[in-house]
Amino acid sequence: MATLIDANKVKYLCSCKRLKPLSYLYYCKYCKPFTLKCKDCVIHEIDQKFFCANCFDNKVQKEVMSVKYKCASCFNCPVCKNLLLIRASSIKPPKDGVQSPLAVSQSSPALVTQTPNASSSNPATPQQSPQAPQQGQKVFYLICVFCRWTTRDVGIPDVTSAPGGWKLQENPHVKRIQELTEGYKVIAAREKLEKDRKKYPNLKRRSLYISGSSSSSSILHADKYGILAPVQKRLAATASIGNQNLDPQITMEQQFRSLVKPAQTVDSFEELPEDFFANPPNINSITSINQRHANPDFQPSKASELYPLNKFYQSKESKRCSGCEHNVLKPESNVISIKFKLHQMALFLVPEVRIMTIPKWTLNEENEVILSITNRYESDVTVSFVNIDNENVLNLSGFKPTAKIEFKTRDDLSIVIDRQDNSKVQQAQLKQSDLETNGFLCFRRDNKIAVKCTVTPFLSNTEIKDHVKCVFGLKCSINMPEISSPQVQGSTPTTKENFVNSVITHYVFVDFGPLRLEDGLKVVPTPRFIDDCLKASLNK
Amino acid sequence: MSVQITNGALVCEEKVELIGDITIGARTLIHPSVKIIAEAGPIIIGENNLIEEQTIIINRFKEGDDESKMKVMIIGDNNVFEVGTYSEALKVGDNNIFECKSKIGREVTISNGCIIGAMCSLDTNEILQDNTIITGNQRRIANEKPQSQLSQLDFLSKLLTNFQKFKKTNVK
Ligand SMILES: [Zn+2]
Ligand SMILES: [Zn+2]
Ligand SMILES: [Zn+2]
Ligand SMILES: [Zn+2]
Repeated sequence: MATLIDANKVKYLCSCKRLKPLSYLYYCKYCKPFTLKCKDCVIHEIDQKFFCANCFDNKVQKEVMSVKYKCASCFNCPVCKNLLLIRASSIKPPKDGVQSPLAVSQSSPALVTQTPNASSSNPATPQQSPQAPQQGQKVFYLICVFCRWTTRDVGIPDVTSAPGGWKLQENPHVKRIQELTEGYKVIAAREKLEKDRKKYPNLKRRSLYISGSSSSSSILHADKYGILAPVQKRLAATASIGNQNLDPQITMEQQFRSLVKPAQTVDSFEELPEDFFANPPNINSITSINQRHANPDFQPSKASELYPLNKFYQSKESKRCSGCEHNVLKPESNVISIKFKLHQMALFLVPEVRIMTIPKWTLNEENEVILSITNRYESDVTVSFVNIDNENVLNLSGFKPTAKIEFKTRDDLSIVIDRQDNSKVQQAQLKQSDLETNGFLCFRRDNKIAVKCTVTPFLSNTEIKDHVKCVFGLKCSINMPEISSPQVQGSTPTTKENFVNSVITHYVFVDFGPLRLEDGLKVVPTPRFIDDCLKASLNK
Repeated sequence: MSVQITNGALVCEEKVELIGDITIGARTLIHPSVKIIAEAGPIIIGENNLIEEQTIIINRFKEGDDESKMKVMIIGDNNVFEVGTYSEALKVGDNNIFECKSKIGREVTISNGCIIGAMCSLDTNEILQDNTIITGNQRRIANEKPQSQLSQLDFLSKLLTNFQKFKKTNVK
């Protein structure tokens, strides 16, 4: 199961010379011949639409920046980072008859006045018992269903209306942070202005330093030919911030100092308490490093200081080919959808190789191994196997093979793998042409085949614990619909799709695991269905 | 050497193995495929416990123990052993929850209101404080004991009587 469980067993050579599992690769159909692209060699683009994965509230970037990318109504558990759920409970009347102040304040005044005598004289009236739901008002708190942490654990008061309204921590340094960001904003605006002045030296300084509305009007006047449109746009945005202290006599540093109080030097720290050194730590009450880092504002060191963490807004990502800038992956813009507008995953183009059997390895001898190949492309694929002796491929990828893999068959043998056909259930059966391969092709069903090959490990004594690794070429020939470039498409609209046959050789790097099968590793024998398939085909 | 099932306890017939000197308290419900093995001394299980499928509760000697010294394993009241729990703990208090596939060693003493999270394995030599919660690789002390599972126990007791045969009770 190379794509599902142990993705790193079989890797393919990406166009950037990195080895990646097939499930991590994309392909570009505009770059000829089709090139594989991995996540390290595509251009990543973040969608401008941000959303909370829990409540699907979505916002544009400006809005999420102002709330620091945090969703106000969804929280994660500070202990284990799972989602906190809202749980409702009704306030139980205290058994000793003394109503808690909470219950008094929250029970509706109308009900209290209805039976004032009963409630004061007899605490066990039905009005106060849990059987009367109209009395017990619902309150809400947050709970983690995994580790059972609740907001009550840290003393956050319950709220009467869900969701939201929980009293959370407030950063004591909020003012200072705001002051600093404001200061830097002004500086950034000024830097931008100065850059613009260098770029457009003909523009009079006066017109740049006149404040607000008059500045834009003066530029409007000067900009007869519309050349300054971008400058004007930027000015309009920055003028409002940067117009206060724009005397060029004042240096940027001076300006910054006038806006922001300089930081104060701390010369004494509170000393650590004695029992910090003397007593062993109580692991029940201290937080782990992960828990501390999850809340960078406070970095709580005690479990009693853990507060709910706001869930972060997320964004979808699309990916582009680095060669031609065409999209290789584009998600649908609807935040609830998990589908793609375009997804050129290599899995849907390149046949997938998986290891079927693992023998008990013998050094320097041929070991029989069965590999399966699955075609997920929308039409049939013709494959043939290439033994690789070419040092170039190996040098490029930095892969060190420790075994030689051989496909003992005619050099020109090419096998057709059918496309996936979900409409009918097919029996595992070899075709007539498959039988002529003398058992090389030993299994075929739907879009999957299996072939026998021999692997000869050539490890030296010092490398005996190493893995058996080898490389081969998988030559695929597929029919692809011809992609005409957009310009051509506009001029000559074609009604018929042209198919072009293209041949690509993929380099497949297989890691069969350690030579010595120890620590629970076992020989994987030939599965029964392979023999069954052979028998069924011969009986026919 | 006998198995004593108090009146009111429900012990399913199907695939339940009770070996050795075992006492099961009233209103305790034992699901099918549970193994309770008293090798190294008797096992006493209290009242209102819920012991779910494939749980193994075993009183057995550790390697190097003096096999002539028997020790009694006592499990208190209102405990829940979820599916696949393995417990060798000699002392378990009240109102504890052992989540699915948790594993407790012989040297651990579970007090009251503790929760051992799913797949957590605890093989230390310690007395767990009241209301300890262990999940994943973290532990902490909760403010209150976990919610009572009595309603679940009642529900299951009613439901199971329709589908399961129970062992005969022999103690009043
Ligand atoms: Zn790459
Ligand atoms: Zn949300
Ligand atoms: Zn949690
Ligand atoms: Zn491209």
